[in-house]
Amino acid sequence: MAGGRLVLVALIVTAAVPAGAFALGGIAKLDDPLLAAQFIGHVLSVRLDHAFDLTRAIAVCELVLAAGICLSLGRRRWPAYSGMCLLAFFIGMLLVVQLRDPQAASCGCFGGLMGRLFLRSLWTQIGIDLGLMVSLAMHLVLSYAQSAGSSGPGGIDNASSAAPD
Amino acid sequence: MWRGDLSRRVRVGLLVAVLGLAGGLYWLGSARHAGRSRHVGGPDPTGRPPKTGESGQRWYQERVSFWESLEYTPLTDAERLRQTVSNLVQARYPGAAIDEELLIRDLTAFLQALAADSPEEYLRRVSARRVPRDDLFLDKAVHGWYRQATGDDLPRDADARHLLARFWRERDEGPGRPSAVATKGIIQIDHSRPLPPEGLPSGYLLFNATIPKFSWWSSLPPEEVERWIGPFGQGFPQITRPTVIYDDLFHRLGSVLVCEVFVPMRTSAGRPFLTSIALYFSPEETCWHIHWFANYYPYWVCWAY
Repeated sequence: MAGGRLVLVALIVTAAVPAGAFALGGIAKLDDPLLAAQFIGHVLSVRLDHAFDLTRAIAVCELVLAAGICLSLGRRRWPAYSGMCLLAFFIGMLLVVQLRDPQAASCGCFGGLMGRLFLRSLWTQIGIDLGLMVSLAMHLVLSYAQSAGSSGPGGIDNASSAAPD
Repeated sequence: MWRGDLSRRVRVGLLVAVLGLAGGLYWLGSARHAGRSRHVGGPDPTGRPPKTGESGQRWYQERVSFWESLEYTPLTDAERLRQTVSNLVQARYPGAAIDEELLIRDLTAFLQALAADSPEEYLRRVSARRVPRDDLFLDKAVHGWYRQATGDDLPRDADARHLLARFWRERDEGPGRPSAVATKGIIQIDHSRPLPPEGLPSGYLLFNATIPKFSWWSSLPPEEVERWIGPFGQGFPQITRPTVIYDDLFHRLGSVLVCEVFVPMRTSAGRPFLTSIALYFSPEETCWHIHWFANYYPYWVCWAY
């Protein structure tokens, strides 16, 4: 079934990209939380030690989401929805800072990688987060299509996709 | 017929692949692991001491004999120090229109403060221009230097006086205590011209910074930067901060008058190294503030300010 394989590949790709980004962000923030803690402390006006704890908590969430997205692959949708919520939170924070202080350069989302690759501005980071949201949205659409198809005749047999979120 | 329910093996395989790829990317891209920390003009934004690679050693060895041939003024010799700074400032960059006396006064005062016998004395000497920072735990450079100097992670309750005392002790016990500044070999820096083969002796640049994080190096291609200041550089940790910080001034005024001084210094053990001291002018206070104090390549130099 070429169409089914295509859906499968699309499901994997739309899961792997955001999961990879979450995993990279989680690892980076756990290893090097300072920039992100500075950023979060600045945006949320919280004390630095609390910002550090919050950064580590976000990093753990990202790793859990990365694992959840990979392991569920459309069967369960809470990792994708949670990932979109987290990305919306990130985008909100980035927009607040970008509008309040256009000179701000780094959010520390990818820890020590910031500024080394292509993550040189908050707008770039906002663009990346929007791209990841689109990827997750496509992943959800595919998973709904998959579960709808599985209930029709000759469709994709995927009973477990109806598992409760 | 393909069945949409993916096997557990595929899901776990995807997870392993994603985590492996992310971990690998991080390992390759992270300065800490790859040793690719590279800094131009000012404190390294990653705050981590770069590894001392062969290129850094080569750059240093090619210039060290020239630096050794220079005459040095001890930081404790106030009168000669002022004369040295005066010579440096008067070798002015063409077109600069500044009150040289203010720059001479404030740069001399900073260098004199570095020669203080104790951190308390240092704080007293700089108190008109600088105050102890209460946000040290935010500063990656402080983290990096603390780790390098002590082997420990920076305490969460890091206090400026405690850290300064710690660095002062490291400075006094180690071979890297800056103790003198070069008095000869001053040139007018013009980075559009080829650098002398022996490298940058000493001199200064003056310009109006119109970017928030000023660094004229950033406009140059990497190979040109390396020709001037070598492959690595490191800002000394800032334990104190200026009474008026650069960013505030920039946001208020739109541009800030900046002076970047390059001058070879010598440690107590007699080893020379190149420093960069960046200052900016505060028109309201009519004084120059130190924005950064950095050295290039030899990481046995230990300092905090």
